Amino acid sequence: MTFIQCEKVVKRYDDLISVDHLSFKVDKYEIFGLLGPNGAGKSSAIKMICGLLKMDQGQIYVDGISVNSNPIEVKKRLGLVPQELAIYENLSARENILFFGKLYGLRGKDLKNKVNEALQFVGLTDRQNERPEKFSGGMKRRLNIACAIVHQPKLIIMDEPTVGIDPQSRNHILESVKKLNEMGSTIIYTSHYMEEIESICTRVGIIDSGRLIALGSVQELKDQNKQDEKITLFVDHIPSEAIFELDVHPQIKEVTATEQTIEIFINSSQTYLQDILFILSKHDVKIQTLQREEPNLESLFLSLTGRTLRD
Amino acid sequence: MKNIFTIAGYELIRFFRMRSILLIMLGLPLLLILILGTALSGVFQPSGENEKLEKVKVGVLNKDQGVFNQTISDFLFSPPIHSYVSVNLIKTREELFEKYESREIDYGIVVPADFSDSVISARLTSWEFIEGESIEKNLVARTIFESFISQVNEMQARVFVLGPETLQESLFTDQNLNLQYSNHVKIGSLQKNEGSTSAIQYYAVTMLVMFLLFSGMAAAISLAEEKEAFTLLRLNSIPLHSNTIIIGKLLGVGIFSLIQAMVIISFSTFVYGVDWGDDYITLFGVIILTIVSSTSIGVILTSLLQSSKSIIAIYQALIFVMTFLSGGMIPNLGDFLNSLGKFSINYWSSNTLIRLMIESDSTMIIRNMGVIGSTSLVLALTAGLIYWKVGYHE
Repeated sequence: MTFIQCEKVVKRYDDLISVDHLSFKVDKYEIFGLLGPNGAGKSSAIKMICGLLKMDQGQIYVDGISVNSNPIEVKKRLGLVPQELAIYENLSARENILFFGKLYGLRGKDLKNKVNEALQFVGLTDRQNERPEKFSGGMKRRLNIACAIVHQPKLIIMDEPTVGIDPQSRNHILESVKKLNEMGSTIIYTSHYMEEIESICTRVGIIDSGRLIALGSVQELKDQNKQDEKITLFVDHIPSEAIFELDVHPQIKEVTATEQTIEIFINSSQTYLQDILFILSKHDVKIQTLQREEPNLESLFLSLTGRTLRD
Repeated sequence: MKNIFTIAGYELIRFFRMRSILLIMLGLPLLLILILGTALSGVFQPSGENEKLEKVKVGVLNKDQGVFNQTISDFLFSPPIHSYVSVNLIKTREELFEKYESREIDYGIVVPADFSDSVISARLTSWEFIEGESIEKNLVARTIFESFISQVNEMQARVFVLGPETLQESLFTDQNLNLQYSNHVKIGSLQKNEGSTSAIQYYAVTMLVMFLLFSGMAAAISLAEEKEAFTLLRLNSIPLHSNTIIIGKLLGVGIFSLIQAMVIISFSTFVYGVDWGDDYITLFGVIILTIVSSTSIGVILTSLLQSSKSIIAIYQALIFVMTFLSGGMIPNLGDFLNSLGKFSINYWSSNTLIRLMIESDSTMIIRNMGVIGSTSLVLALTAGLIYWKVGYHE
């Protein structure tokens, strides 16, 4: 069942197109990952889904409601975890959550219970009366999440919620996202860390320069990219003749050589590994180590755009 | 509506949590009232009966031996005049200048020999005034003697219109020619409560107005910081109309400003003995309109400027210029600067509050309230228009 539907959405800032005819659907109870490098248009897309940014063209529906014509109704269904910490430093953790809970219309016992649940969910019950100025970066991030989920929304939008935190806090947040999904929320998760997207998302949209360049489940996208397995060889020397021979091999897609490292992108490495080893031995190249990497979203992005996600 | 009060309530909590803000907004005005009120009390007019003017030593060279000779003499030594002037009769012009040079006299008067004749025959005549170094003594002497001359002028006018017989009749019926010997110098006070210092009264008013303007700046900072801290992004993602957010925040600042005004008024009343008058409704009205003006300026600046730093810089400069020009720091700045001060919010708010203190004519207070009301209305409409155009978003 479709929960979010984006139809040919366009957003321009003067001459710059930030979002270019973006179309995708997100099903109910999905964790949908939006992957792309910085400046790809992820945040603009998110803001338009939340009704925070007016689109120049297109339509977005959330739970069947048009964001353009009824943004207030859409906002009732969502909780936004912004990329930046959107919390008040001079209110305690509990007061922060209480404040936003009240603004979502919660009152009385219901408010109290849901604030307690949110605090428990992010593991801040013990420090609920402390102000965020005393918190670590990870704790602030967790409070940032708690403020967005206090009203238990149907849709949670997380815009790079793990930026600038330690691995332990990152894992905690990723586990929380999975738990929220299990509790019945549909989640849109943006990141430029492909490992995060791979580990939690059921489906992924890859966005670059405002355009959706790939869409599907993590496995589907990996399968699309199967021909692009990567073999990395550390060698004693690199004769140019050997590189030339590798480059003209019909199944090798790309060869790059730097100092003592040769990187080869090849279709079905198991079948053609012998060919590679033969060419190198013919030119007296001694192999020190050999690594074979399965295709991933990073390599898919590379093959689609010629750039890495962190470029 | 509930959300407006929720936002306003938390705005207040956040204000009261910021110790530096509390100290500046509540403590500093009280300290400044005390410091300026005490240090600059000498700049102000005497505050009551306890203040005495020093007697002016006047040297009088009366050359006139006509019908006014006796009248002038009676006037100079009449008790009301004698309480402010000590007369030294001088025989020659040389003696007059000698005593003036040696500072035996503070002021000199020469009555011309043809004074009486000139008055009777309706001819132009005048007294010669020789002023001394003290502005205050010159003012007292000139006021007293010009009051006498103005009565003589009136008499001369009667002679001119009705003929010299009028004066002759008066001379036969009244030795003093019906002249009033009351002195025309009166020491007054701007205050009802003669015991307290007028400088304290004055600075209590100007500081209250200045710090109400600072509350407007606090509103502007709060609106800008909401953007900078990205909390506005979250607030805008909540099902609220953006008007609710801004009205709630301004209401919070408005309530804080009212609390600030109450603290300043109460503390200055009970500790410094400042009398704010009895018209509490108008007092409340002036405070509310000043808050509306200051927060409107805050909204305008927030809409036009991006960072809280630039808002602080411009708003602070604006407050200090307006306070200075309105006489909020030094009472009299000269005609040009005083007239410029009339274009400030401070001038009209302070002026109205002072008039409330001295229980001035109600028409003046109503006129001032009209100006403050119009100013705040124009500012609020401008703020509304700019907000409508620019909006309040991250």
